[in-house]
Amino acid sequence: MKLAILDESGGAPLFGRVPSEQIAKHFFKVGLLNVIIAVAVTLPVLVPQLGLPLKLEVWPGTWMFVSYFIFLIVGVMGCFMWCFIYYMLPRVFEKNTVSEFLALSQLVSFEVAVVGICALMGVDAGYYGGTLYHNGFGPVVVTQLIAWAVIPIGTLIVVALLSTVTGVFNVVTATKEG
Amino acid sequence: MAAIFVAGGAVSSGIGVITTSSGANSSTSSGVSFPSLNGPPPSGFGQPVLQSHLQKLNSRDVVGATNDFTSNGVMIWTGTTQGLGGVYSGQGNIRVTLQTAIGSASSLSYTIVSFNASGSTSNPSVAGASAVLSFNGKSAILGTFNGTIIAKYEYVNQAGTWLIQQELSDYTTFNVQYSQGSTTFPQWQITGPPLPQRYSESPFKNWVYFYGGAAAAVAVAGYLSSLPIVLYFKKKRGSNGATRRRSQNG
Repeated sequence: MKLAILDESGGAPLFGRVPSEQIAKHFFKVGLLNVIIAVAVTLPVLVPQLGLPLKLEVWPGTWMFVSYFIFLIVGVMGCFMWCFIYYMLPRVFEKNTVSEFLALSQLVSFEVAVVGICALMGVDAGYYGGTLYHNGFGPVVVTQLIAWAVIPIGTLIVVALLSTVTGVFNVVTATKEG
Repeated sequence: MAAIFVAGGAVSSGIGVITTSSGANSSTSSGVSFPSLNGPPPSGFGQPVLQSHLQKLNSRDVVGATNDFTSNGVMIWTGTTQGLGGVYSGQGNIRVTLQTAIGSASSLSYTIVSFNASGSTSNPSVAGASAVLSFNGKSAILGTFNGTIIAKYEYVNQAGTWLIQQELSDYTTFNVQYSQGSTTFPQWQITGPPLPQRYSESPFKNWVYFYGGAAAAVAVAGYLSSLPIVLYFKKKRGSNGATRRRSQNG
């Protein structure tokens, strides 16, 4: 339900407003999606032919660990945390509506950034680089082959930060609506 | 730019000790066998064959140098390799390694110090070469560099062309101006302060290093710091609206 309203104090809304709990539902669904992704990316550990335990223990295969826990902490727990924040907003602060534009911008950029960062970090740097190193490639050669991902990852980190700040904006500009 | 995909410790050769013996076939630690050829070199094989390969390296002809190997050729670099050491099997892996090693060099010169050719008494299409090579040059990654290699080659004759089946290069010395600096940004070092006098060959990377990264951080910080400003104007607008409603209601 989209509500084009004036906030209680009489100011015009910055964007279209939606109930905060509706955004909480979106984050909950994306959180479930990330749980499924987490299960899927854990499955290769069970495939002996991939030799993941060997590749995980040496640089740059350790980036798979880093990326995996980033995904669990930020992608899964972070998503449910934002779900919790939007769900609790009306209950704790009696702020019922938030900007739909900001919320969807936050949700989309959050998911793109987290999945992108973890994919580049885990697949390119971690798995590909770890496989090359495990196969006897020199560290300088491996570095040259995986280093292309550094700037895209940095860019996606910026996107993730902007997404987070957008979420904060949305929460603090939430309005009361009966 | 928090992610730095560089080795955290000292740069190693990446492979274990490689051994050769005087037997018919000797094994390396990587499982690659290197034959011992005791016969005279076959007709048409000699120093010019290796010289041709080195000339392609000197001119940074990565594709040409890669094509001097057989499709399943093996290139093993060991010793003091400045992180380039490894076992590279197949033309694809060899090309990538040569691209990394010599692709960024602005000048490069391999010189044959000594050369010995040998062959098989039973197979005229196989030849071996032992050589001592010296090299020097300059690259964006290593700065100025020089060194010495004790190299062994196994050649096979395919359709009248001598191709390298195996190369075993032991870098006995490899002196470089910049060590452990082969990362996304040449300015980065694993240890020690950044080296701002080093520049990447990519203008984009230099822009990111000097301006882009900091600009992105400033943009995020600016976005964050605009939060109290927005709150101030929102509160002020709400306050004005309430005043207006009170005056309209008398």
